[in-house]
Amino acid sequence: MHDQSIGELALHLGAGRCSSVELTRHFLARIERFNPALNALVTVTAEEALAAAAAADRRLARGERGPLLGVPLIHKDIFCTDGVRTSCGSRMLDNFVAPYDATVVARLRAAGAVMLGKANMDEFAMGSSNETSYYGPVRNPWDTGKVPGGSSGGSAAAMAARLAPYTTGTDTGGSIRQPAALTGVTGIKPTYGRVSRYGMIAFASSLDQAGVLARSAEDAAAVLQVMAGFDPLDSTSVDAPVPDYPRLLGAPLTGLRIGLLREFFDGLESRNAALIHDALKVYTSLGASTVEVSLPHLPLSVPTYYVVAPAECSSNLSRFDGVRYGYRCDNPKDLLDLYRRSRGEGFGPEVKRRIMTGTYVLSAGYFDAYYLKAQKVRRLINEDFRKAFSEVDVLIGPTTPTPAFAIGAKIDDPITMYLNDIYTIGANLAGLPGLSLPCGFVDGLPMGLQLIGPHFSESRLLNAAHQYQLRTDWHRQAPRGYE
Amino acid sequence: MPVYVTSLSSIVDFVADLSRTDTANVEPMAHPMDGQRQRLRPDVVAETDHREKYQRNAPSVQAGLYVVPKVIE
Repeated sequence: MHDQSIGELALHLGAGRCSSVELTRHFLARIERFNPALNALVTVTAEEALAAAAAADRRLARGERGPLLGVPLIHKDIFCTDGVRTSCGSRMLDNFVAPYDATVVARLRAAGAVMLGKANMDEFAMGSSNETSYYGPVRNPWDTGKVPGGSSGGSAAAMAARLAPYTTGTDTGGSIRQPAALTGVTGIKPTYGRVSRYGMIAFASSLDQAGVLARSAEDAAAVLQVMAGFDPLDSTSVDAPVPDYPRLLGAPLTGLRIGLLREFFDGLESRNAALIHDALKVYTSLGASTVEVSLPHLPLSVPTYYVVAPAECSSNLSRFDGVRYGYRCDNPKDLLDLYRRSRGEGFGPEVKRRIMTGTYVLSAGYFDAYYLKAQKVRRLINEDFRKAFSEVDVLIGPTTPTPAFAIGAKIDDPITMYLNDIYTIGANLAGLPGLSLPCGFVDGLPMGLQLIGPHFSESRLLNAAHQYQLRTDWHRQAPRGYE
Repeated sequence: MPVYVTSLSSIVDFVADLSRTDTANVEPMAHPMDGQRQRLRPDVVAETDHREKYQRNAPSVQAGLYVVPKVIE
């Protein structure tokens, strides 16, 4: 049951071959068996899940059908879930029980999705390895000595271990695509504004976007169909019609113009490059053409990001004051002591590092040199993408420079850690949709192929990924012991 | 604290690379959907009162008020 697509599961449920309660029990049993070693979930909501499954079974019995009705999932613990602890991977919110549902959660709940629990993540989504979580690192099912990537590391590891048919994630600089790549999963970060950010704990508000980690592009299309759309509760939500993603998966790729980014291939490790070139052969055999393009400012995307994201983070995280919700220190001697110690004890080292970087680049005297400068370079990067998309339909390249690295290998060196996101950050700065799909292995570990498209081209990215997955079986590979 | 000194210096050095880029006459870009206007909604009450539920997460509450250490002697 755990290796079937969402479409197959919906068919089984619709035909009465299994019930949602049985399906939910199956995944809860896998979580119980595998999660202690992987640490992919920080909260398991077995009781609520079984109640939601029973409710879905009643809807099915009344003849109702839906692509996600009765199908279980795991939410990243950054999404507020009414009545369930929402920790964001932080001691600061270890005691926080969300008083309402995020729009993403509410939409999936209304569609009959069954939440199994909440996934571990880097603290406040700040990290690329899931090692900054207050609840400890998540382990990669392909090799438990390796990281699963981050920040949606728990969501990705849960997918690789077949603990749920799909999981939600968020992507501020690569946090869906990078862990998807390192665990052999398909992950999509939609266009900024496509999916509501309401109830999604904010990290960098001009970059954050919610998305899906799934077994395949076909499954991701089914989930995104429910998640996407206008939300009056999010002031940056875009009021534009949502295409029929599942229906558009079958479009032919004849005439698709693929851009190969020179900046992505410069210095790319040869085995990684070979996998990308193999994937391109599949695409050209389907009638696509390739052309080399250059985004001269793209190498500046990582330094630009590490000014913009910390600046926004320092502002967003100022709300955690130990007064209205979240962690409060013991016996504060006065109000200032309460603020200082609640924040000092509630936040971990990477979050503090980013708050300090952010306040520094925003401070009088440095604002022009760092923050304003970064916003100007952001426009240059955005212009580079705009020009490229006047010549090509989609950009294709690697998702990450290397496969999953060892736990502990990069945690003490922030710059090395930040450079993991060198290929993914550009799409966030420009608000573009990006998708990572499995394209082979290096040293026995999965690698990802990344597709980036113009704004609102999710249907094209899902279509291109699906056509590749019809002809390859990288996305069907499971780590040993989790088949 | 020494950990932060080294790592923050390395981050500041790293992002200083940006200064070498010519950005004369480039408008800063604050938002990815450039040109998108912020919506306004009609000025009518749309929310119901959830104070009690929200305050269940507060570390200290009395009579519907958040309690903090004494500020004024």
